Amino acid sequence: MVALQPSDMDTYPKFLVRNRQIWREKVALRRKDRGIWQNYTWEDCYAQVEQVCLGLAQLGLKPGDKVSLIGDDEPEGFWAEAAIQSAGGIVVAMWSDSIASEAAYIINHSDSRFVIAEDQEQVDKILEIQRDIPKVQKVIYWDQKGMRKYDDPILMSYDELKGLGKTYGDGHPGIFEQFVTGGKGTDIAQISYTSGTASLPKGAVITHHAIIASSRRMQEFGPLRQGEDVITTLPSASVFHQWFAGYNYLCGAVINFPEEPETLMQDYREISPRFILITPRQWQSLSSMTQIRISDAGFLKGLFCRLFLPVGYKIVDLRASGRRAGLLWKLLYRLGDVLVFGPLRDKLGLIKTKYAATGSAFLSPEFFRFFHAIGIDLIQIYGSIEAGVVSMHPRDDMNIESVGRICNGVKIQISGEQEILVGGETLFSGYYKNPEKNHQVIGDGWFRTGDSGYINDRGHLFYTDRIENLEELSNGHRCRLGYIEGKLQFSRFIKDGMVIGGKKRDYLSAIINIDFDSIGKWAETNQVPYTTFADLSQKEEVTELIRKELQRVNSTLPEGSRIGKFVLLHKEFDADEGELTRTRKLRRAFLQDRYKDLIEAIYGDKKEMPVVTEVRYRDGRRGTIETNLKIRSVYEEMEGNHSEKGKC
Amino acid sequence: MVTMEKGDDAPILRCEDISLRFGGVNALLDITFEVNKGEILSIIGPNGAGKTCIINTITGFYHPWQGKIYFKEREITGLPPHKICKLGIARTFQNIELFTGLSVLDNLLAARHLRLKPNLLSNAIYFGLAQREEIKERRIVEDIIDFLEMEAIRKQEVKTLPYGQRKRVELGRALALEPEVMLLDEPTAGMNVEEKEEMVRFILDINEERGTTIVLIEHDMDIVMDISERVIVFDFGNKIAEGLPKEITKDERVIKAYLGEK
Repeated sequence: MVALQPSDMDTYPKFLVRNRQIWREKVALRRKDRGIWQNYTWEDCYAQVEQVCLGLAQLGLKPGDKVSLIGDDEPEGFWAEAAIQSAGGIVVAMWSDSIASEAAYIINHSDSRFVIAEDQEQVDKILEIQRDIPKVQKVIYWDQKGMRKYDDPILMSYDELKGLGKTYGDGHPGIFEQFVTGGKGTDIAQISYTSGTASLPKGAVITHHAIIASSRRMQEFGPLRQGEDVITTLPSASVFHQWFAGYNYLCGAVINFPEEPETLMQDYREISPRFILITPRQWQSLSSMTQIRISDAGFLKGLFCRLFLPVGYKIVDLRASGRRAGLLWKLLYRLGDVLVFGPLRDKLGLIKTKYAATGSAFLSPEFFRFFHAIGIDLIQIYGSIEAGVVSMHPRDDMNIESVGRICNGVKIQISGEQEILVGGETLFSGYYKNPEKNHQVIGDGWFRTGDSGYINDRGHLFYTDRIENLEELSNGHRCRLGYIEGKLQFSRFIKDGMVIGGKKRDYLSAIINIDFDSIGKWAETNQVPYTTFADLSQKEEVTELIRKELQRVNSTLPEGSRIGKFVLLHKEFDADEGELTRTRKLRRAFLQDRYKDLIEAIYGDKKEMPVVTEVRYRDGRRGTIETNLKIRSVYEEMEGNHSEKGKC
Repeated sequence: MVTMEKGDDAPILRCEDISLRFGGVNALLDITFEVNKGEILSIIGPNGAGKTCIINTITGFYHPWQGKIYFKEREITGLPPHKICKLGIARTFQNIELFTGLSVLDNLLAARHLRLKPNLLSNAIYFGLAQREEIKERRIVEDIIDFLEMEAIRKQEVKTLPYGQRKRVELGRALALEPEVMLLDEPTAGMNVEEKEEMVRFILDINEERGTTIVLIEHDMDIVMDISERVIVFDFGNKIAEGLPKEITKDERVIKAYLGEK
């Protein structure tokens, strides 16, 4: 056995080897299968990774080769990542809901020689594009279901691969650890494809060193001990997944894999993780789910919620302004915690949670206020694939307006255009096969984040918006479009919204996706009959409902940069149609082009706009939807009154 | 799990000259057909053609006025439904018949009851024998839940589930009986395209991975033509055609029965 020195610990596989030596039969990860949480010890994980690694080596994987990974977040995928990296390979993780053409682009662009896929669904996707990905030699799948009849020679099951590795390992004892110790921190661990809000995805090249450095930053502000539970919901395509894995490899925290994406809520409750890191989207849906539940609650529960939620908010606001809460408020909050907030946290599966974190996109401060009010100390981790972890809220230094305190070791500066520039060891090594872009964003050793922000005297970083989202109106007001969109999303009736401005326009407008579940429920209780999404979205009652929400949002915005008009779109923005990225961020340029006519109609003072939209289904079929979209003003007195518009 | 190779010579199910009458109405008239081991056989026909009647007759809910039914060359005519079920013939119903007050899990476990070996003493003690048996049964049921992707609704009461999912639970319950033959009465009725695709995928998986013989009553011709190996056509209680899907679509009598005279 090769003895590893602490100073050598520069890749996750090396930590795996160490952990097996020191923790052996202790639980390393857990998955829910057949309704029961099944434990895997460090020995088990080691064996899995060893066999897959040697199997891949047997198939001809050489150091520096790329392996694409596509599927939901499951232990097999997690082990495969470590196995690829153990063999010196590079992980290229894809979103499991990528459509075939996206997958083909990434597999080709990354020069992947192997694809590891979850199940029949993913295998079908890969086989469909088989002719476009000539460099791929084998497609390995781990879920056997439905695969009995597949006989394409390119396919191989995970078990077969492991068998191959086991035979090889038996004949060559110690070979796996030789592979592992041969790896260096400066080797490339992963190519992460960015969601590409403006263009084709770009592959960010990341070294082991950068991943581990980011992970250490997270652990500094949010330390965990061996054996504490974390739950993973971040697909391996998310770079947060890589950083999060550090809790497992570096600290020995137990990673729990939910049974299915649909069983997430039940699984949260059963595990109640110490650390939970989910996307802003997921926090949004937790928030709207909670709000729906509160509005559905019986008389007594509803009464308690209405009574104590303001108390929660009061405490949050006092804390934010640095004042101490008086004894009475504290007592009231205690009572609220026993009667309302505690049970609520229990329902959400967050009763034991010490760190509740969000990352990867902007989450409006409204959500922070709400979760803090019910006793969930939501923290923000600011970072990106390219920059690594930059800032994070330590638990004792919370500021809901900031995106956290700048982590130790981060080099950061704000450029003359208020752009956040990041340097330091967590930085990526450039985009794969894209020297032009590299020069543009990282030419002088500082990574241009494209985010605008500032730093306060206490070392907190404040995020204003994406630079491209900062627009000046003709009245001279600068608007933060993304920020306003975040505020819109806090309404449980609004799923998504795109705010439109521009130099030639004197007011903002919004194209809004209603939240079908939430408004559907509301329509049922208020006896508003409807048929489809499109029909519901154009109902007068729904317009009124959203108008109130917009008035509320407007009241929190400075005069002159408020929303004047809005349209409730007949469909949801869809990632499959290229309207959103896979991380569900708006692709603004694309949307503005797609809804060009609608936007013109809004500013052309039209009342209605017939739209025919082409819809592309997953199986490639195309269809069209025709609807008459109503264009509304946020303030009724504005209806038909052109001159009033600028005053909104 | 029972796996069988396709193409065994003896038919697994055989109906000989079945006639069924309700008062003066002939629901079925001299129906004869065979079901081969491991195949997917579809029964089609207009409403009231006698499709559900033949399933009810095979499973013992109706007793034929004349004719004989053989399962694996053993006569089962006139046996009560529970005995036929125990022999290895399971069914689903056109109008879902589940225990609505029970959870999905309990509905499936209830089906396992047939395979339990009850013993008053060991059940009273519970620990040991009874516990082991319960774990074994739960494992089988959990396999089915995994197979039909019902993890998220495992503990929900059936009455709270939407229609499409209830259909799936019913399929699961039939599967829990570990049958050799499954009779599916309009499993995709009332579903949207996506739900139908899912259901068809399950039916194919059951047939392929578990080797279960499937008799399918179905109105959606795309599905019938897509997945069945043979098709039988009923009209007014008569069997008017039998053959491969592509033969059936060209058959004059079938066209007449479905579309009327020219």
